[in-house]
Amino acid sequence: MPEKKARIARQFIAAIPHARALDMQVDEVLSGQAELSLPYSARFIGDPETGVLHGGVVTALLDTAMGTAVVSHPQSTGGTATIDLRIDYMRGATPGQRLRAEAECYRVTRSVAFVRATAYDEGDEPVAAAAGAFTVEGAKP
Amino acid sequence: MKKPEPVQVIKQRRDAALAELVGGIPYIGFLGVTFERRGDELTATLPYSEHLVGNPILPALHGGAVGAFLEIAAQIELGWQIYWPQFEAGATGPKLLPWTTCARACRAMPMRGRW
Repeated sequence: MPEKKARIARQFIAAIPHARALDMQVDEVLSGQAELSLPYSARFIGDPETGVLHGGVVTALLDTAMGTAVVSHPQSTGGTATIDLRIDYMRGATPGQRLRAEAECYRVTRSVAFVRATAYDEGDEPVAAAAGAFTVEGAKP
Repeated sequence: MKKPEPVQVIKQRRDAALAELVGGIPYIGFLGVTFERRGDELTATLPYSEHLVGNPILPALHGGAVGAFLEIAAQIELGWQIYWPQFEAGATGPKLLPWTTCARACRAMPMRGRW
């Protein structure tokens, strides 16, 4: 039931104050997959000389997209929390462009979900790539 | 023998250099991260704020906010270590570089970071 999952994912994001503060939106949710984005804003700048977004903004979007992928997975019936997250930053996001993250939950055990994600600006080359582990709540044994 | 600088002059110079380093980055202000200085040692603090929450039920801070906090602490510490010998020698104008980060879940409470 993808529509139900998408609705749950939107509610999941709407209930997160930090996601709201960063103006994140859910663009697409499939079973165990999520795509989120946020608009460029001067408040989120990390390098004032170039206007490039702070790496922490990329971290927050990737983390949220990965969490959304976990809660939309068929084996998850509750919330989630980040256990581990590592990120490779490849380049600065282009100033003025939306930041987008695609996440996929590729393995779920009783208590841990394994997720990978990639962040892009409006171009095709990745900005950053992430791999992480998240808690699973209410997984079927 | 050269007359030593008054302590207040030294402190003002170091505080101004730190403010210059931290104040130029909008995202640090957005998250609300502050820095405390003792000599050349810095301690970063992320005061609790509702907009940092990632799980309102637990409640817990957002993993991305914690990751960003660690990244900022590391970024400023590194910038500070590079900038310190320059401004102590009388130069001005910091230069920062992009960094990496990692994160985990955290209780909704003030945090402290130190290298």
